[in-house]
Amino acid sequence: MTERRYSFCRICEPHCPLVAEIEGGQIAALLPDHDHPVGGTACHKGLTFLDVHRDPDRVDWPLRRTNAKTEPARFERADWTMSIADIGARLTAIRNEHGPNAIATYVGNPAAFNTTLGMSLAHLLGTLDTRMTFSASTQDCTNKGTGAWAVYGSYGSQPIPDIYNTHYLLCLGANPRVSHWTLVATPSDPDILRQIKRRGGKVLFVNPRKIETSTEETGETLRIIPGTDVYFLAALLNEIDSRTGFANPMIEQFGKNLDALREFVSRYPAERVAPVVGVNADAIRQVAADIIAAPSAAVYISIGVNQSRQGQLCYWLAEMINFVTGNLGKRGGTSKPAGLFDKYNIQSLANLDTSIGSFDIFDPPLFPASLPATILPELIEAGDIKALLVFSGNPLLTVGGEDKLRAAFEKLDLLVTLDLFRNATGELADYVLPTTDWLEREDIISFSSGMQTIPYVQYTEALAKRSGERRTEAWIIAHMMQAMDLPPLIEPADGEVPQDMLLDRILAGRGLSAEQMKALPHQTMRFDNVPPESFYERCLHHPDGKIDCYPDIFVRTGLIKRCDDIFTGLAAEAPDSLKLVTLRTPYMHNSWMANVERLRSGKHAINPLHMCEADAASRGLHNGDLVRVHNENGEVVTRLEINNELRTGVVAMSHGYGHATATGLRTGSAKPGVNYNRLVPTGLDAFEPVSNMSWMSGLPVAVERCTTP
Amino acid sequence: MTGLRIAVVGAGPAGMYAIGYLLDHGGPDVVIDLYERLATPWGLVRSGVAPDHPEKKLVADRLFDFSLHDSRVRFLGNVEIGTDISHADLSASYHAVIYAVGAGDDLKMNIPGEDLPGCFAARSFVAFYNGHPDYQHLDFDLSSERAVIVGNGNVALDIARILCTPIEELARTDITDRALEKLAASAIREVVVLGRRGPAEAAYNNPELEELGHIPGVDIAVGGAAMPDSTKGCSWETKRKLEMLAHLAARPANPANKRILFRFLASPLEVVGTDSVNGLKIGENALQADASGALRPLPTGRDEIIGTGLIFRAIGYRGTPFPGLPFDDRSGTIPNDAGRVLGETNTYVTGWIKRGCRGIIGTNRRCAQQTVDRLLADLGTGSLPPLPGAAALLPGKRIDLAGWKRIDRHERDMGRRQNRPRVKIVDREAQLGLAMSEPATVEACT
Repeated sequence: MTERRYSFCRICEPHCPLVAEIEGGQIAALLPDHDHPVGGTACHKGLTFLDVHRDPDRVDWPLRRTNAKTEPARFERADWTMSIADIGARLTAIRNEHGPNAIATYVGNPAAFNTTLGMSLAHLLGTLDTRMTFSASTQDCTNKGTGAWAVYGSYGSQPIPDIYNTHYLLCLGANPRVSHWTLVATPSDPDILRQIKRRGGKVLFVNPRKIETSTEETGETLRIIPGTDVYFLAALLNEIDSRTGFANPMIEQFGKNLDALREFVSRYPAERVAPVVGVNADAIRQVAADIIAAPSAAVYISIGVNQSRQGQLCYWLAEMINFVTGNLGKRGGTSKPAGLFDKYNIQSLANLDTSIGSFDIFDPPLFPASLPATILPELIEAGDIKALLVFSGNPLLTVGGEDKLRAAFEKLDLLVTLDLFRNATGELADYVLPTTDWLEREDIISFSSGMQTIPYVQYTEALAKRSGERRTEAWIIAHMMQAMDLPPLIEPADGEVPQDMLLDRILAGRGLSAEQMKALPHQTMRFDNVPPESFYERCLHHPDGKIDCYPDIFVRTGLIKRCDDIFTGLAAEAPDSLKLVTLRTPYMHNSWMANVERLRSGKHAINPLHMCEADAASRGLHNGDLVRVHNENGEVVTRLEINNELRTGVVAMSHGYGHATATGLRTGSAKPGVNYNRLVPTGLDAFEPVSNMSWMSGLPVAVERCTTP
Repeated sequence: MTGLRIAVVGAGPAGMYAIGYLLDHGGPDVVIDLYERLATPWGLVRSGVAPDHPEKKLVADRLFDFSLHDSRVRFLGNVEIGTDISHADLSASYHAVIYAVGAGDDLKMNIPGEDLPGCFAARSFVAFYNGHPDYQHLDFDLSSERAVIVGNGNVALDIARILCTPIEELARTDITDRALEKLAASAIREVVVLGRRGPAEAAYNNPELEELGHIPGVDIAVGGAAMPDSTKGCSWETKRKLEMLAHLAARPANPANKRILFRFLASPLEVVGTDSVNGLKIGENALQADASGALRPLPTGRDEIIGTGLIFRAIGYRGTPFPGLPFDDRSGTIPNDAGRVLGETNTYVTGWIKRGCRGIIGTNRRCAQQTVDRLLADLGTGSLPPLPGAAALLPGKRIDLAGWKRIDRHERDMGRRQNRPRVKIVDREAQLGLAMSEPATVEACT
């Protein structure tokens, strides 16, 4: 007897609709839900998640370490009651002795797709009152939120491109075919981009590599030198200014500091930036002309730009193009869609003093991360952080400087990971606490709220029974807080923390409840969208209600001067220098995917270095050669893959590999691949001010053939 | 399981998929010795896949090569099992032996004149232009204006395409220099592709058919059977093939062009000629449903002679008996039960020699999984008794991984200079000389 139940994927923003075939209380098959009212087709990452669900390496009960962190790990099965009591007592002692900031948290990317984890963690952090919060987001996207704060006045005021209606989409550092968009949620359907061309519009991708999304049916890729997007965007603005001026009638009412913006971009005319960005001046001018001429246009940046050292300024300039050309808050331009809620926190800046220096942080603190991940090891080594709680994250490999992090983690008084697996970070933990995967718990689409091209919410029941003693993070956090004599978000009743009761608190904002959702077709409720021009009413949260076109914080923190200095450095670089960029593939997402055998065959087991034929030929390298990739930060040895989609001077590798020491992941440790992050700069100078972003992409590297492994 | 020691015979796709699966499931300390008769690995990926289909060869770079570089695998090239080492000695030296030896022969037309000079097996021509060392002595006379290919599967279309593709396009591939020379001097204007049955029953796949339409300067024509009026009742794939053929044949013809003529409903009756081929006598067929409903070709009695000096038979490959192992002459396979060779204790087969000559490269993945699953189940769990491997039996002139890499890099270096993926070394002695130009860096079978 097969029962079909509707659900949705929780790997990336679209939350693709799924249908599960249930037999005997277990999931027999996971398939795309082609009948979903909003649409989108799940990709193989989502469908392969069944392998994660069934993985025999999953943690089924609490594991307690029995030896020193410096030794090869030995774990024993522990009891939930004892584990929670011990962790609670140790956290309380640390807090009492060293203060709340001695307890740090690190949150991985899956937490974004786990509503009750987010709610419970926000409550825990607020109650603990710690500022030592870190997350994967300073590796991929915080610049967008902090940019929205600087320009519009709130972290939440991030408009998204109206890809269903636009006539011109300029897409930098994104590869929607593989990533399914980031901080934009739209049904996973490659036809949406094809329709732009079909209706007479144009899509232009700007990327060092001709990406999978870029086809004859979508649009071309302008192959830019990595890490130079900020100058490309500045040149566009300068060109727009000289062609038509900043012509949006909204500027008068909402704009401020336009002259300072004008002065800044005037330093970067197309001719001057052309040799640095690797795109000729005419091509740059043409892009500006196309944006001006298009009835509507949208500029969108994503991870590749975010990670390239100046993501903060790139976000600002991209928003400026949208604003000054009148495309912000316009159909076919960019705007902020309706969501489950329409709330905008107003942050101010505060100082956090630590023994390694003083840091700008937001008040109230940003969730889930206040601090740059790249200073985590320094804060541990300095003794500021004594305990680290890791929520579905793997900072050891996700953040730059694996060896430094390992040495620091070994010094922690308490390291607890809450995860599906004992991953590389878990291998160093005092406790590994088993959590439920997304097929085992109730949830709603919440993370994508306010970034959906088609606003809706879907509810899902737990599709499979939880194996072993897996618990939701909401349960674990509530019990941990009880053990610390702190008030949990909801008091466990008979030891249980009902998911629906927590989800109802979010749904209530729309007058909904889990019970109501269950009765709807596909448990889905669509919302009416708001008019795009309502952006100006809803999203401008500076006290003066203006759009700040030249935020003073960029000057005060040295970002502007840094930008000018970097330009000078880039202009002086040797013409044959190589830059390393991250390469997203459909075979890797986060450490949960590292243990899926069918995603780890052949080249996907080793994380090869991609290089174009011209660069390989000039170095005497061939496909399959063993190569040493190195820079001042570290080195890795991998094999070469010839990839002529890359522009010359650019090499690429994927992020997230390197589980060699994670014995809890048998496939992942047998086929670890090399860790990109060994080549990433770390420490106090290694993050971008304001955004706190790590510099992950566009890194200078040298590559040589290696004759012995 | 620990201590597993396996010999795999044949480094083509079948053997490489078996190794990939063994590396994942044979235990962390599995040792796999890979025996290959040639100096070079990859089997038909190197010597069978058409040179203008580089994307079909990517599986070697993206998958097989990673298994070959696994420290648990040792490549033993230029070692022929059955000649240098007997099956009996080999099977005594390993916990299990997997034969992935493919198919060494092809199906004959069994008509008079078949052995006349000018009538070849398709595999000979394919192996010739792809640089298989055993086929380089062959000489193909391309001075006739017409060539006839008997059979219309994908191999037949590969040959038709190679015969008609402009030389400057072929010169960008890894086709051998000698084949390029021959083709540059070719007088062939028309290639007739002969099929016993009709267009709806043609053996080729649609992508291969469609590709013919992309060759510059080539017309496609259909003879011998009318295109069916309706594609009703046809499978989705057949429908696409019929529509594609109709589309290609309807394009305006240009007398200056070369031509590929699909001749349907015709069987070869006799190769005509005295000292060499000068024609092919064909008999017309009509289709008739047999008891099972399948359409069978029946001769109508009408025949004709197609003038040609060059005939290729491309009607299927066939396995050959392997010394020391049983053989099913009817199917051309080594009889087996889910991969375990019947009557043997630790001997397995995978690939074409196991299931017959069907399927594409990727088909070998599941085939190999079945064999390896069987093998692992037979051996059970726990530690295995230590075995010597075949170190003592190995001939001196063998090629290790480093030796193959020297050949590989040399070929790629030469290719790079000519803007080609590689220029193949096709002479076995030259291959050996290059491979052994430095002492072996990895001692096999320690």
